[in-house]
Amino acid sequence: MFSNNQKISKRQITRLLIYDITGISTLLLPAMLARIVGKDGIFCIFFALIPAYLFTALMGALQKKMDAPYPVYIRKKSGRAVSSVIFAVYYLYSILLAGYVLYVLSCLIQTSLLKGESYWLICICILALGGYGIMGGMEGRARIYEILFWFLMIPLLLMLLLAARDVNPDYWTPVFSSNLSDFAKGTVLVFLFYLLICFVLFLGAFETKRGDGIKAAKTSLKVAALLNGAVFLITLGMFGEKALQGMQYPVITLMSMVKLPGGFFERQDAFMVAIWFFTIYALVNSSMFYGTEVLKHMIGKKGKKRYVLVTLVLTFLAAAMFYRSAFVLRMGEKYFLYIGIGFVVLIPLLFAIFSRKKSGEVSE
Amino acid sequence: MSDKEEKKQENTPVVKDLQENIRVYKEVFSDCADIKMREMTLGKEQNVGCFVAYIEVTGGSAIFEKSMIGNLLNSLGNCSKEEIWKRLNENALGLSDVSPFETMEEAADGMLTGDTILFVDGYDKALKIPDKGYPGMGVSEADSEKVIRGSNEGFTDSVKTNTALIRKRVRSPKVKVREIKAGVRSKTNVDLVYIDDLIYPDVLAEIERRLDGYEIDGVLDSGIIEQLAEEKWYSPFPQFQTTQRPDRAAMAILEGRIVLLSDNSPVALILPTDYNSFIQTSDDYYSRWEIASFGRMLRFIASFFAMTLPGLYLAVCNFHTQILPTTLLLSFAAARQGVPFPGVVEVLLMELSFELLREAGVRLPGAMGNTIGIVGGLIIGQAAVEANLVSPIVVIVVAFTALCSFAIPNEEFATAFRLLKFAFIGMSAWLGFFGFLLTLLALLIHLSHLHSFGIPYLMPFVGADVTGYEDERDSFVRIPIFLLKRRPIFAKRNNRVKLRRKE
Repeated sequence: MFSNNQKISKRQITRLLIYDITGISTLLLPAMLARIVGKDGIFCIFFALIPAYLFTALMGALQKKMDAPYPVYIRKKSGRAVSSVIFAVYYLYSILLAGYVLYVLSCLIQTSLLKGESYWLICICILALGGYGIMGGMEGRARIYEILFWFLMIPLLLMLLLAARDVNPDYWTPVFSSNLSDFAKGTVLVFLFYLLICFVLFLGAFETKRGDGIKAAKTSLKVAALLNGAVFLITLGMFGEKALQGMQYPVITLMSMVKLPGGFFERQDAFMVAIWFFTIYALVNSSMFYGTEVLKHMIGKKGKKRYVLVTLVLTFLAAAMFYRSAFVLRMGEKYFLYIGIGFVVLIPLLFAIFSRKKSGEVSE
Repeated sequence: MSDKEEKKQENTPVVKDLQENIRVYKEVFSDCADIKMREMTLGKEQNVGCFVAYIEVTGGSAIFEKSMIGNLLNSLGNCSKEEIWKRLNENALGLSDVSPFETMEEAADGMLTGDTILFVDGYDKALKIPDKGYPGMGVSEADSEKVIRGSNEGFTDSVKTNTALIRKRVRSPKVKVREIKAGVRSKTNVDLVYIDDLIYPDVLAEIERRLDGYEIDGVLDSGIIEQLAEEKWYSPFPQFQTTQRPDRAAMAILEGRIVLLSDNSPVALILPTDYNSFIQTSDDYYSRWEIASFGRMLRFIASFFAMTLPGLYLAVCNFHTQILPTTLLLSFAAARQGVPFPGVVEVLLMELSFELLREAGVRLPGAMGNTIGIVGGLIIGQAAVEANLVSPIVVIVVAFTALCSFAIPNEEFATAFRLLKFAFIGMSAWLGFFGFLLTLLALLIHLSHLHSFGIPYLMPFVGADVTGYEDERDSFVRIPIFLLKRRPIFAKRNNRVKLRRKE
């Protein structure tokens, strides 16, 4: 019989990761990159693949050493006190990420679909669905995005293809005009988005075949880079560097401008927001899900509902703080850029080194 | 229900003393005017007493001589006392289907299945002799699940006829029928039909466990079993597939699924099931693959619009008018001119009127049902538009939604969409396209959590890797039949090949 064992296939992991990375990155990256590196953003998108692949290799090496799911392995290797600190760091990262993404999604809905509607109402509605989604476990989450994948990807690719007709290639040049520091900043920024593959470490317990997660991460990085590259080039080619810098959600504006040949609808942006609604919701859901998993291991007591509830409340508080205070929002962005990256990369790196020393094995 | 009362009367043995048996039996069936009981004598010398009991309409009383019991009594009429007992003891009555019972309760239950009970003096068992049985409708055309091509036979109210209709189509000794009694008082026969080497024994054990999980007064239709055995009672989506067509049921057992038949119900339950199975029809496999695939795609799209169209209309008209071309927007506005209600009230009014018409149409006798459709759909609809109560565009939207819901082949499955339509209307009226997306996502989450006996409801659109993506070939598109070589996920993993070319 079909086993409900909370195991998911490589295809499901790939699709989940593609959603996690591309939703938020295609929405925010074009304008952010234009502001930091201008036209050279396209190189940052592909250059950031190098550290991302290195990080994937690091995760792969660590996974080979792991004889238990990641949180269990952490506890086993570092003891109760240290592991609790590590869990707290991961939990903070998950909650802040979920809160930030929830804030972005709520603002997107507010500006594109429901002008004048309460931010709080939108936020709570999404959060409630997030909680409902988590209750179904990993299999339930994976199924939603497996089934939605082509329903979202085909319209997106079609719209990008249609938009490409109106691109002015002159807006793409001159290139290599940014300085090295800006280029590095741009690359780190893109890497921050690619770093969402760090959740693969937590997927070990849910993989049908060992190593599926790492393979899926590599595929999703390729897809994310291609999609982001396409979106960046099209938005840059349509709006030009200066206009792009001033936009909040250039890809949504782009969708409102695309004319379907022989089309019935005047504008498609309201419908196309659905793509970012589903994909960004996926990231909110993922962050809360992994956060809940970490919290469960940190506290160590059984039961799911209470952990989900705590995560929901904290995510809401984080989203509320990002909304209410521009300072917190700036700090949050800085946290992700400077501290978040550090922790997310450093913890697996330390474990990879630590376990090598302990067991005497040579890591790949 | 008083269980103690039920248990008190158990196990009164049938004894050799005929008068004692008659006394007990008459006590059990006191005040039952429909039960006929006759005392007679048997044998050459007419010196062996016997007692026959049957339900008035089930026994062949009018032509007693032509019935099995009549023939038996006639043949025993020529025997001596010793010969009669010898034939009874050796089961040499010349009848194939005679069941001996050792207790009065078993004898009473046996008679209530529609057969005749015979007690013979000096013999300590009661015999159940098959007879006419309960009256019922014969095999007729199925009311629902109409097909263009294929058999038109439908299930009847008799579980025995229904199992025979399946066996007629799959003539294999591997087709097994397991009988269970459901209902403490109704003692309804419930048959589980399956192919032994195709099903997962776990699924069979699970359905038996669920059937055993309740003690209920009476099971008058398979619908009661369905509701009691469902895992997620709150879901609007049925977790059992229903069918009134023996060919559909036969197809299901060939796929490694189990068919549950309940006496007095022409509706069979199929388990496990998934979204895809509800959209399939029997003639998908009888017709050419191109048209079968086209029909199936239409049904998938129809299932989506059956619940979302009125909500989408409200979201676009009330919140996101920028999507529509100006000319269309103006024509919408012109059509709504003079309508006193807001859009949502207008849509709800029409939808509820339509549901009312549907309900009235179902309850009324056949010809009148059609009349109400014409009166409601044409006359009232036209009058409502002319009186400016609703706009013509809303009539079109509601009519198109109804058309979509009629295209869903399974009635129980279609009801889920009919109900969810109101959730979409409410949310879209409140939060526009965002409300629409929220409802859609909530629905997707719900469906992704839903299972039918361990099979994810969204198979094969999810988790298709389990079958090597084979099941996707028979989902949105039905590929040519010679390429459908394997059974779906429901069948045992090592027994999935259903078609191969001969060497």
